Amino acid sequence: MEEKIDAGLPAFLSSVYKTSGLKYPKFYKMDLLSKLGFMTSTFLVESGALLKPYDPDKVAIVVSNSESSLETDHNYYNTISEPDHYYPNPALFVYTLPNLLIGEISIKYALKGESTFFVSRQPDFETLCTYCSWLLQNTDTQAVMTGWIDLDPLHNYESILFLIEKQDQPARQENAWPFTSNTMTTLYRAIN
Amino acid sequence: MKSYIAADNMITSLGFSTSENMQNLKAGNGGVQMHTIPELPNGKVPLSLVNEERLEQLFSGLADGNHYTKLEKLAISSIHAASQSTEINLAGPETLFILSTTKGNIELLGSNRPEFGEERQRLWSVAHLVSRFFKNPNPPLVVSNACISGILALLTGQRLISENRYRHIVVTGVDIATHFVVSGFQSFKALSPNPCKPFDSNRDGLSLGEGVGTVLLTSDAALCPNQRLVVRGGASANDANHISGPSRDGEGLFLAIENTIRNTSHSREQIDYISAHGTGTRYNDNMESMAFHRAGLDTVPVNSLKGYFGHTLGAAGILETIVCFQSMRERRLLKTKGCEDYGTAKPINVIQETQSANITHCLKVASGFGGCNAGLLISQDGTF
Repeated sequence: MEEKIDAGLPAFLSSVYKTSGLKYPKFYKMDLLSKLGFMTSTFLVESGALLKPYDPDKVAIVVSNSESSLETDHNYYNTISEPDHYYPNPALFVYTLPNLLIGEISIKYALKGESTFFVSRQPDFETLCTYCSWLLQNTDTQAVMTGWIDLDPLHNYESILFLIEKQDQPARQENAWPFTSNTMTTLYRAIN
Repeated sequence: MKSYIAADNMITSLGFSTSENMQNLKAGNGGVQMHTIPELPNGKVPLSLVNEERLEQLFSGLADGNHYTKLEKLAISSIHAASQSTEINLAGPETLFILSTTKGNIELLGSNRPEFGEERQRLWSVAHLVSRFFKNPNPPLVVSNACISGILALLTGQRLISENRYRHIVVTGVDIATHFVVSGFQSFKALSPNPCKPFDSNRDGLSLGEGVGTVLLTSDAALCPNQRLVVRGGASANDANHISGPSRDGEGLFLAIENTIRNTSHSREQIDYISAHGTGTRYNDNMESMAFHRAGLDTVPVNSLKGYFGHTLGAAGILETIVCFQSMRERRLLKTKGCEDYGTAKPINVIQETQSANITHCLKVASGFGGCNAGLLISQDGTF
């Protein structure tokens, strides 16, 4: 069934969710940043198919952005800014932390590995590459989901995720890219 | 490369230096008191707040206070104080700054402070301002991962040093008490009406606090005082269960502890002391007792420091780890302030009297919203 894609980001993400065929009602409780990260991760791992070779306790998630949870912060702030219209919302407050998007991906795919959320002005693929490589080489991490999931209060957004695995794993496709900050930068620029 | 601790500083309701804080901690003094937040409709709430006048006075010796937010003044003051006792060059290219904070300058949201542009609401902007204050040339890192941010920031520092990417890393954790955060925890009914009682059978919620902690990590042993301490390493792990409540069986924290032990090739029989997260909520403290039990650590002396300076969020992992360092240096285990009658789902060995002890290896843990958990192992140098 074709859904007409609305210009607004919330409607767009709902459309994306419905078109994906995923049956996951928790999606509707997420804030916009988590919905963005969640749908990106769903497409990355083909709704979980690509994660099958790994022990879910050994899949790490390392995400970064520049706005942290500012879009949700604004929405939560609106629930407490008027003294005679005061209704602090716990379902909203919990998302005023950017790592919640990692939590949502974790829950959906039962991933219990390492996770970290970094904030930087621009994507810092150098740091992500160093950090994720460290995890793969020095812990029992088998695969890492990493990238940049950004959303500002005006709903400008950018979302890119990479799935990294060790060299001795069978390559996903013939054109699997080597894991370097140059590769990530090239692919990131390609979406801009 | 090993990560040694060259220096540290903490600023909380209990003082403006590690030694001042420790004096109060050893005396059993707590900094959680009733305060009024004007925007809160329900009046007073227990909070641990930094003495604002004293902070202004201290900062006036460093720069014009009108150009910096309270959060920035805390961070800069703490880093400056820590750097006084070490030869580490903060401005050198081989030094990196890492900032741990959950909400940064969130007080600027909706406030009429035209002197601070919208950019200051961004966490990276605070980090840049702080690292540039000390003339550091490298883009700083920011870790914002709920209440485990501080431990993750220390782990990030330790991991980068082990790769020899930097010689020295300034790790600072800071958060301030704001209407934004207090109202949020209130909406969760997570706050106790009184100062929190970690691990107590009558505990009924957490107390919020603010503060800053700075740790200077270095790979250069010669730059450290005698009796060197080492940040050995650690791990993080997710519950993959619920976004705001911890796993009943402590799964994520258990994994974080197990992986800390594995990643540092340490033996669990050689952990002398655990500094817990111990917020004083029914759920958290039960969950921790489950995790410690599953990890075979139920007889290890454990305390929570949150009864002294509350839950300081992005600063907690740094502040509480600094108290671990000091406990190890002074051979002193601090009692769990607020715990009078201990009672958790599984029995654990809660420290209820401040006492002497030799602490060679210490495990620091934390948990946070989003199902995140982390562990960190600290050891006396030469013992592993």
